[in-house]
Amino acid sequence: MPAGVSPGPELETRTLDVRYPGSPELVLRDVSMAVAPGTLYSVLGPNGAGKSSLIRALLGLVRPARGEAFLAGVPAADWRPRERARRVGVVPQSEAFQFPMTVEELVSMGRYPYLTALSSPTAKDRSVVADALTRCDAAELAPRPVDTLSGGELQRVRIARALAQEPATLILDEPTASLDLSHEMEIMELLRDVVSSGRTVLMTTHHLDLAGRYSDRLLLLNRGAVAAEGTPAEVLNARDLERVFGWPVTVTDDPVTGTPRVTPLARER
Amino acid sequence: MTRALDDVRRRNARLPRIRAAILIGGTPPWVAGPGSYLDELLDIAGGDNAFADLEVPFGSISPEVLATREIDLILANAGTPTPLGLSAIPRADLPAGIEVPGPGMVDAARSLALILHPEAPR
Amino acid sequence: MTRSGPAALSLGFALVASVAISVGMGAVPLAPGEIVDALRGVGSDTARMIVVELRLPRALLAVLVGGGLALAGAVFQAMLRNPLAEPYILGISGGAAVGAVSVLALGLTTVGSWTLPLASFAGALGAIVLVFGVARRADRSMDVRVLLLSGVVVGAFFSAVIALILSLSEASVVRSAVLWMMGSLAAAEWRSVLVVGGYTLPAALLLLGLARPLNLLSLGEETATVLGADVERVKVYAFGIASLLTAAGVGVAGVIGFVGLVVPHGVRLVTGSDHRSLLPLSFLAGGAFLALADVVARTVVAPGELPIGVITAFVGVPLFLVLLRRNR
Repeated sequence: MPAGVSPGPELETRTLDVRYPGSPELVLRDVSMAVAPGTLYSVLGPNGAGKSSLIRALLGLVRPARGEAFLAGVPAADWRPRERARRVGVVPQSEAFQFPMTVEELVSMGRYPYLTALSSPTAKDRSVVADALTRCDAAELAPRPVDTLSGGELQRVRIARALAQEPATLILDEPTASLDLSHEMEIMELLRDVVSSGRTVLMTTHHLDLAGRYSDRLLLLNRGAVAAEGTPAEVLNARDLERVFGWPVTVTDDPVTGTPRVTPLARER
Repeated sequence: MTRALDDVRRRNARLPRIRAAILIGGTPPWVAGPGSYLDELLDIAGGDNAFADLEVPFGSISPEVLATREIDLILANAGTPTPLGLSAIPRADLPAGIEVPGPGMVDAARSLALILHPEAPR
Repeated sequence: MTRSGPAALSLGFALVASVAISVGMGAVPLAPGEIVDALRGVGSDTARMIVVELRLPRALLAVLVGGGLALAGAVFQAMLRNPLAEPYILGISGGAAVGAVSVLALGLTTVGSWTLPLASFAGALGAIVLVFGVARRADRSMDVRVLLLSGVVVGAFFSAVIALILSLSEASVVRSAVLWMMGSLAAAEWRSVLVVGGYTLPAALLLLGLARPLNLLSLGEETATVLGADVERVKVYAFGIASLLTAAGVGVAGVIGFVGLVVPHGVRLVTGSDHRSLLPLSFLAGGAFLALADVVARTVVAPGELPIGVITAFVGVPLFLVLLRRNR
């Protein structure tokens, strides 16, 4: 799949305002950002800062009140669901498993945008699914029922499903939430691997250190507005972080990785 | 009232008995069986109940049993469609209000007798 | 998926067998030779009448109605993401009953044998329009919870209307109405088979075409959307077609409970919940099940008949418990 063939940004918003119907509050205010193809971009910010709303806007699932959101240079709202699903794979924060199914069945759903109502999966579909599972180190999970997976396994499987869509871009909403250290690292390494294969990745996260270490660029949101945007070294500074999170921090260079390390301080009484 | 009913019974006793099925509506159709008020009224008016073998006073009846029973006349509530296979059998509407026992009973018996034997001298 | 092949074969066989049994058994005993003769168009008029005009259309109608209800039930369960969902959950039975009871109370059945089915079908359509209208007014994106609530409220309103009409009606109307509400296939004839078949089969095919998006929807609307499903459109089609399918069944056979609730669950227990197999197998299983239930309904108390809803519950509950036990 030719990833990032368009010359401009893969994901972009210009002076974007978003408001949900029936609410006077703007959840996003004057947000301009751009994600270059083949990079890993992380969106940071406190709970309620508008991270998930930004994802919805980039997918065209909410109409902008002002400004515009673009996916691969096309206004996000103009994408039809099927074409969009071929361009961008999404791993939502959570999903419900209403009926029992196996890992293989779940990952095969990633092929939906390539199938018609009557066609059955081809050898190619099956090999894409197998590749996606292997890529996420989940090949041996294929026959397992989804509801028997651990949190880390389930997250790898859901990323495999998004990869089975053969997308140019991957969007993940808090992919490492509630994972332990090793599983969190597995996901981050996997995403870096996805980026090095030429794909674009946008994710939201609360883990500032890991975001700084693995991302090419960061966006820090505060109550729907851009507080800072740039390289990890530019965004992860004590002044902006303290203002946005409302907690004293200090930022040092990690002696091992050399990337910014955010240390929250005890609040002065 | 008993005397008036006996009178109706006597008048019709010598006339040929008519085998009638009393349809009271529903899907599957419900018919009046032995021991029902309508069964007795039919007897007084000079008819035999085609479903005298029913085990209940009122009950549903299989359409195929209905279609194969020997029946001279169908007595049905107005509005009850004639079941499949019975269209060749003459049909008459039950007099309105006949289902409710009471002082109108003598009139009901008389009008039923008139339906069963329209040609008989009164 | 691995178990759906054999399941499809055995259910297809069960469907054919159930139709054969339906034609073979009835309140009037007929020898196998008589039945075969009747089917070939020879033999006695009586046997031909029973086999060709009464039993065969009734068996086929049972298959169409049972299959349609089970299929609609499977679709409703997927769309509402609620295992307790059944085809009547959105007030369709209430609307149909209002139509039927009105016709009975006004004595309009004199006009023709088609007035009752047509009125109940119209009532069901009215219920659909009302429920969807109310839900759509409250929430443009047709939130399934709003839809469910709207169905329950509209259903309660219909119950009140039925109670009002019946309390003002005479005894014979009440009896006919109660019988209608318990469901029966006794009104089956070739005309109704052709009408219901010409309507059910295309509707069923359209629903089968929605199997893949229904699979995605079981993961939630947001996930289905990002996987490429046009969720709004799928909702309108799936709810609309399944409701119309239910309306046809309720129009011709009254309210037959249980089939639409339990048959899809039974199929799910055996072959899993992939809608590509679940939907067609539910149709086959529902058709066979209702045809057999009808055989029981018209033979156990011969020459009388039992309401078919009684049989579907009495036979279906133990059958379902056996399936549940075997698969745990």
